[in-house]
Amino acid sequence: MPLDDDDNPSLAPPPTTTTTTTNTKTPSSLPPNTTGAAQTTADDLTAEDMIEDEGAAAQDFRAFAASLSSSQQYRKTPGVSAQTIRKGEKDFEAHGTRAQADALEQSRAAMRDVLGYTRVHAAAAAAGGSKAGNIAKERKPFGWVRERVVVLEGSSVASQALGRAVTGQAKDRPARGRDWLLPEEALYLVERGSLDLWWPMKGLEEIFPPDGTAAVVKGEAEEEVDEYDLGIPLSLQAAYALLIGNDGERGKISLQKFQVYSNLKRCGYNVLRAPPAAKQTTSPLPTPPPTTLWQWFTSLLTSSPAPKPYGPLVQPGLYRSYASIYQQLALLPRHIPSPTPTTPTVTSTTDPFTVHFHIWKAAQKWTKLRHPPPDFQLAVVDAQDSSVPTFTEIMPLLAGMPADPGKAEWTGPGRMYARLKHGYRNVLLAVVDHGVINYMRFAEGRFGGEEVYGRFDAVAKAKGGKGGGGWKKGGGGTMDVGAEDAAAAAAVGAWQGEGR
Amino acid sequence: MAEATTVTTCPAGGSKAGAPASVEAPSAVAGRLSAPRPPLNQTYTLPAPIRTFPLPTFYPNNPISLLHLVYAWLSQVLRPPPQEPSVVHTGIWDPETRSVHVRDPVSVRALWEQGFYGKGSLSRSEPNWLKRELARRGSPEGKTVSEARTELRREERRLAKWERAKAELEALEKQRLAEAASHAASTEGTQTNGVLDGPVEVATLAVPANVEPAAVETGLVDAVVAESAATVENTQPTRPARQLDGHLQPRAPVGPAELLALPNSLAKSNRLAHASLGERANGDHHTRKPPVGPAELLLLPNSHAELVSRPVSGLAIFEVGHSAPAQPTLLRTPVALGDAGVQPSDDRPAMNGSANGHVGKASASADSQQLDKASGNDALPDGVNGTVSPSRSEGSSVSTSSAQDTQANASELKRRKSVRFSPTVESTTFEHFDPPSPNRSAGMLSNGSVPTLPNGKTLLEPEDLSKVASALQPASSTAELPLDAPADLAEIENKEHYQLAPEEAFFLAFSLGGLKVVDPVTGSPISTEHLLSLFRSYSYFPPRVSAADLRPDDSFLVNYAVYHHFRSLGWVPRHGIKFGVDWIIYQRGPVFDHSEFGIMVMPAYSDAAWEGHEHEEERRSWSWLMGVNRVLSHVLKSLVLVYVDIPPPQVFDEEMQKGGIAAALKKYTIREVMVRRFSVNRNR
Repeated sequence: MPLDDDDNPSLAPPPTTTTTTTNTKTPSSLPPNTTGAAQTTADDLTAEDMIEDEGAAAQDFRAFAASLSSSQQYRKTPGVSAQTIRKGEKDFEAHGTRAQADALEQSRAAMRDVLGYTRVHAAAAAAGGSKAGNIAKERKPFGWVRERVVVLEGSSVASQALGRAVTGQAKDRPARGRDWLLPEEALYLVERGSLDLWWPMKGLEEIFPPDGTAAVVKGEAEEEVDEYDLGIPLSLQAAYALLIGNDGERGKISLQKFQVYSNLKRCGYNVLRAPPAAKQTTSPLPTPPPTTLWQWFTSLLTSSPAPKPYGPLVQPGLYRSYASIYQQLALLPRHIPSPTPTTPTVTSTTDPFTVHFHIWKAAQKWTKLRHPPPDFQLAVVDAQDSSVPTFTEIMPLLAGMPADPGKAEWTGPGRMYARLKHGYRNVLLAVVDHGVINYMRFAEGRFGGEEVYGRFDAVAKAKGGKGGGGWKKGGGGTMDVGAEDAAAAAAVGAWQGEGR
Repeated sequence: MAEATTVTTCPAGGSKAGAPASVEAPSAVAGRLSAPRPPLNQTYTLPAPIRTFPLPTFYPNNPISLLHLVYAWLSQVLRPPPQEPSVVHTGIWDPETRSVHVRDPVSVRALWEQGFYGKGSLSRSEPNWLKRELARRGSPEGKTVSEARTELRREERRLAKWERAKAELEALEKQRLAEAASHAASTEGTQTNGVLDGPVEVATLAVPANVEPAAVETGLVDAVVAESAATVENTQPTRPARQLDGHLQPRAPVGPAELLALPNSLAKSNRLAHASLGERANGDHHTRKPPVGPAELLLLPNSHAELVSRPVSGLAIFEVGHSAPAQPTLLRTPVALGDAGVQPSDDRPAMNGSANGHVGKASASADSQQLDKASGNDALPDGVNGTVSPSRSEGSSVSTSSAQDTQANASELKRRKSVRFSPTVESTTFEHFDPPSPNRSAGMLSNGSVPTLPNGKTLLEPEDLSKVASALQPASSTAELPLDAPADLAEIENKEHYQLAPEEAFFLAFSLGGLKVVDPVTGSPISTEHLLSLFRSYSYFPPRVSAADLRPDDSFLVNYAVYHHFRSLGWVPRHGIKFGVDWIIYQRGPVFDHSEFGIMVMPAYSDAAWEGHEHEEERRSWSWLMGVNRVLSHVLKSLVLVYVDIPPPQVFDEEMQKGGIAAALKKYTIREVMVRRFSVNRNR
């Protein structure tokens, strides 16, 4: 299979797809042949990793060309991933050796070969684009039916990932049972070279006659009807003009969202438009978890008096553990995330900070109709028009996300950082600044549920300190503070000898 | 200076000789650094300035543990320990710096070790100025301060980089030689062409460099010159050096930064006056970059012709600065001074071909009085002679004596003697092509073939040198310490105080009750209530005096809410301005672990009652967020946006009346949002 324009070697579809009878090519929704090393999970990323993938690493086109041209000319070999072409040290200046000059020349030639390859577009699908005003009835929650403006002419089998057949229509509806595409889907296919977009010159019922008449018409139409009578093909510019618009315009999508969509698709993700935000009925205030009898009993015993207005919060006295001290310090309400959102007032999300796309990692089994809950949920934000979300913007957005507490093995104090960094709920924000997309992950913090001071008592106990152990001063020649306390000083004695 | 000097002393082609010499210094330092240090867990036992008295564990199968338990309990009942917090430290409010100062050394150590509150005013964080000062004066203790370790680490890293660059360059050189050999075997004619190309290129490049000095130091020129010089080197060893001399001219000091960097500029002379000799040797050692660039490295072997005549002055300095405690001090110091001072330009008097000490004796004409007078001149913005050619700094060449003036006038157009007024002699004469500041140009390394003045002089006689040296004695190099160290150590007065940020001080006073803040004037303690309004009013600039102007969204209150939130969970928050955030939080403390989170405080006004009140919610741009995140991820921390939902004024005032600040703080809502970049390439 020849190179496509958006071919990412890691996303190479198997060559058998060319034999399908449909005239739409399968968009590359198939899983990438990434090597195992490439499968870094998000949680194990170091900061260096995250910096590294800026594309700063020089691409070694020699390796790229070699990996492609191993057997035949640019026949893809399995296992070629984006990783393999990013290796190598970068020379920052010419040092005059012939070895360097040769390497440079080789690399240039390889790049010229790669870029100079003639791309072949297979006979692409013909499709008509039209206003779909007549299928306004929304039946399914995931439909976005009113937004679907492009009808696929081919069979819908090919488009596993895109489009949607509108069901439940009357029998005599035109284009019944066809796949209808959203503007970003259609434009993505056009950009990819997989779709010819046509502007219909006749009514939809003439192009896609209803089921009953189809067989009759089709018999004679194939010879007589010139396809240019039905419509005119659209250029890429025309497709953009037709499908890119402002938010809220019917049948159009904003440029930022389309850029994010196509970027994600090209990276191999499965992307669907998020269903419109359901009218969130203000759920009844979450009832506080019922107190058990034991809790009520203990609360009677340890009912702490209200703290003094101006401190000290820690009552002077004798303390057996740091936990009792730190419990008195707890003043500000702590947020402990729970599976059911506990925000007192469920306010709806405001526009840029609302989920626009659902994203799935590339997986073999994924289809547009049967798929698990999304791996990520993403909002698209324009960097110029918006700013860092405020409290009232980010909190409802996060509250609407499903709980994602992280891996099950992240327990215990050793994995506290992993838990904290992962957060409890998370959402992606794609910040688009003039076409440059920066994905940010915002996660609900869970510091309130992690009591670091719990460790203090264990440490104190491990010291085995009778009477609280040392109160020791290191170096510097200063006097031992604890020396005033005879008992403490006796306990300290071990290393007081070093004082000078 | 280590790299520069050791490299200059090594003979031609012996770049290997330079490496061991430069490596030995840190190892010597490291040897002395390995002072015994108590385990951190012992020093930093208490996580807060409050002791706890846990009862021993009772093991049912071990009856003795029961006895132990009973004994401990009885002893605490019969003779109860003092109520915690048993020690109340005293801090002085300092309105100028808006911080609370602690001066009692015992309190300072306690506050640092029991929860890492505050920082030393002269230290990075741990108050160890005294230790460092002791170390500087040669005491074995104090070598373990973190600043010293950082220095050492940086030094090692620099050396490693230098070594790596050298190895790369040698590999390249080998490759080049191999290619040249194979090439020479194939064609003879092209090879001569190539050799001829080199010098021509250098010459054409060197000439514009003199005319347009700004273009000199661009990497391109360097690279080309170095390359061609290397080509030449194979056949004609002496030529490239001269070419390079021509090429590496200093540029004229036109920009303000260069003017300030001139040797005799005000800033520099001040610095020199204050710097001790030992410091200078050390300072140069750190400020001067090792010749890691290919151009500089290539310079080194090429300039061997000049360097052969050079004495081993660099090495001597090196030893004095670092590891020569047993050398006779009085004899050594003047020579060392002469070395240190003259060294950057000592190739010019190399016509004597003798040691650098001779420079001082050459024909000294000025005494210390002239020195003083001249340093007065130095303060003038313009030199005495207004006719200095533009390529030279006016401030850097001030003729002092009339005798010198006449001499100088004789060759006014060509060259001029000049004097540099600093405790150490950096250079004795200045040529047209001299660098404006000797430290600034790589050309000084290979300027040796430049003809020197016939009457090249220094103004410092050896007696002066020794005088200067004795004046600098207390703080001079470590070589003399075995003699007078004990007397010094006893005298050092701790100049450092400890400073607590308002949030830290208020937490100690309000939450733990372990701090008493006193008024700087009257010395009377400030009540917590008054302390709160003080800190709140000083969180504005200028401070708001009337209490009516204070609002619930004072930056102090917002920051304190965040501080209290994390402190009460057991974290150790410290100010994060060094990392571009508001706070950084440590799990145990800076001596134990790196902080994993950087915190940005985001005030929020979500309550509808805020509508009626003037407030501005800051809109932060996305680029701001990316910048913060970028910086933090470079230091391996993750960013946390901490939203503080501020109660509206009515609610706040009501709570303040009812239950004081303790009740009002409960109305602040804190929500953390973890932010990081998401890489689409790594998550599919």
